[in-house]
Amino acid sequence: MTMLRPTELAPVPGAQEMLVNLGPQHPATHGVLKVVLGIDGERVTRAVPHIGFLHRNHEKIEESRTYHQVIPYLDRMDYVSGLQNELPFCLAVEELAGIEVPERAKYLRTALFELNRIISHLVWIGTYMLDLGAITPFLYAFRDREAALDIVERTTGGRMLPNYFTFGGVRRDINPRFWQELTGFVDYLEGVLPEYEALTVEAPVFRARTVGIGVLPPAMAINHGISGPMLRASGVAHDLRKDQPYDAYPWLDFEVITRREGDSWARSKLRCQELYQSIDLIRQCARKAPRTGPYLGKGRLKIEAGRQRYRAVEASRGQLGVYLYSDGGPGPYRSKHRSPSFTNLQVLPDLFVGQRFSDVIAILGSMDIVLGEVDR
Amino acid sequence: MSETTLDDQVRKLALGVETVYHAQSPAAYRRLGERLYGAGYDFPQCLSGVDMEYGLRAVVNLRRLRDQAEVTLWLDVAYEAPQVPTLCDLWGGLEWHEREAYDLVGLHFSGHPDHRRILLEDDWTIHPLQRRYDTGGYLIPEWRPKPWPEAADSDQAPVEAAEAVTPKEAETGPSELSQLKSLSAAFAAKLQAQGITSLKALAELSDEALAPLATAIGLKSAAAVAKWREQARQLREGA
Repeated sequence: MTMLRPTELAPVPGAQEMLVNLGPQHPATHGVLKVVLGIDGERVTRAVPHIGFLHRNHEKIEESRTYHQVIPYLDRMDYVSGLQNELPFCLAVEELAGIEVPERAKYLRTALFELNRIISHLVWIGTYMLDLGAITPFLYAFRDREAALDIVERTTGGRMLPNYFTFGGVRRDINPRFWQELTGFVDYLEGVLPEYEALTVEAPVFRARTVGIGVLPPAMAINHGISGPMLRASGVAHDLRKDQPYDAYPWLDFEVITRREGDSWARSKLRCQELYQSIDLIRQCARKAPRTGPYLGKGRLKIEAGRQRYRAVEASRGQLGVYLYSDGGPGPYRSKHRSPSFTNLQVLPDLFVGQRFSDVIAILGSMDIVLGEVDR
Repeated sequence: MSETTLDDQVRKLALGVETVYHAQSPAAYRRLGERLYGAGYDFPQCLSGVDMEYGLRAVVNLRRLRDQAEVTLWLDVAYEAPQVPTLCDLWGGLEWHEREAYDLVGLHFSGHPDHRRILLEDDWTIHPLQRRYDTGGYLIPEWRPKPWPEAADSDQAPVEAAEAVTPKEAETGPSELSQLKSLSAAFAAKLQAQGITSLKALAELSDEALAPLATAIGLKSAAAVAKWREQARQLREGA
């Protein structure tokens, strides 16, 4: 969160420029993002993002917590997909401490990880449509998300802040009807998704507002560390579920989805395709997961001094990683969280400048950021 | 810094499953960054600042999308001179990560185009992730810096950094020695400094000369020189 420098206020040559504050209280900035926009008529001449309004410095708090005490803080980074935040930290600690995860726990974590992706994408589709002026898809998406959150709540005890994954598996056993409920939900969702798709990404008005808007070239996406649906919509087939498989992903059958266009519409369509993919992955988990067995592996949580690890997973917004450094103590000496929204937001000026003012929200919404993990 | 000294400026560590290149000077860090970029490490994953209590450390995690290879780069700097060369002209994705490392940890990135705080206010006075501050942002009275750790022990093999990260680099090396596949440009230059300037000279080395030569160019064992000699002989027979 910074003040504008004099150079940022200097006029752009040849432009009759007006400075406009987008946010931090603008509803379409999904949290508290402030972007100072320079506009010349309808064209955006500059964009300066300001972040940090939600900064809580989890990383400093984590210095004085034990490994187990860190996990609840992770839920609060990306509050839309809390379960996903816990996984990279658990994987890093498991690798450093040499804790084995039982097969059943791996399938459980993978199924819940994919369920969280569905929840996250449903929030995205609802709020994006709201940004663009459509009310009804928002109501549908949040109604269905509630059904998914109910499953999470019955399993973990928490709706959005589950505190469920732990080192070596999950914290407590599932209820006996878990897989039945889960497959029931994805069966229902698969039935209604085509209708949502027709209402949203395939709707003529939506296409008119997003096709060819905010095109992100693949070389720029890679160089800026863009990940997740934003990267894959630009035609780069990078997905950590395939490229660095963790938990049960090596045993599941799926393809990395990519699209060539790289515009806002491609990013939207790709997320819809990922919803179908998540449904399929959850079904595979439900079919293959062992019904009996331990849900928590045994092992001693002791990490030697000087050990370090960067471990990342493919969360719904992209590469969610944690850099962990241990001094041999009971908690992390340093843990840096690499959140996908923070890194993806860096290309915002490149995508905004030159576009029309009315397209700014259409581009920002298609990036799918959560300010909780941008500011951490 | 010349090409030939980069190997001496970088230590390669194997920490568990990860391989780490520990640059011993800011110039080596920058040069190694350029080499890694040239070697196809195209995806910037993360840049973290760590307060080591004797100084600050910059940690860069890179990935090569072609084969999903990962590499980690370290640089330790003193509290009094926390200057780190920027890498964000190579990987644009590190720009905000470097700003965050400056904001929270206190590393200074020389050459950064937009060196400002990013999460905290501009007029914030401390770097909160330094260990000398408690969670309230106050100085811990009993905090004392630790002594700087000892330099690398002498029996550690020098890093063939150039060789490990840029297999193609050898082709640009000087003289016909560059035809040897496993010989890096840096080691080729070292061999030349010892008077081995051609494939013929290398192929005609005697067994007794191997060990002193290995010591002279900074290798732990003579096996690598013997391997190069074997390759030189094969090349000469082929020609």
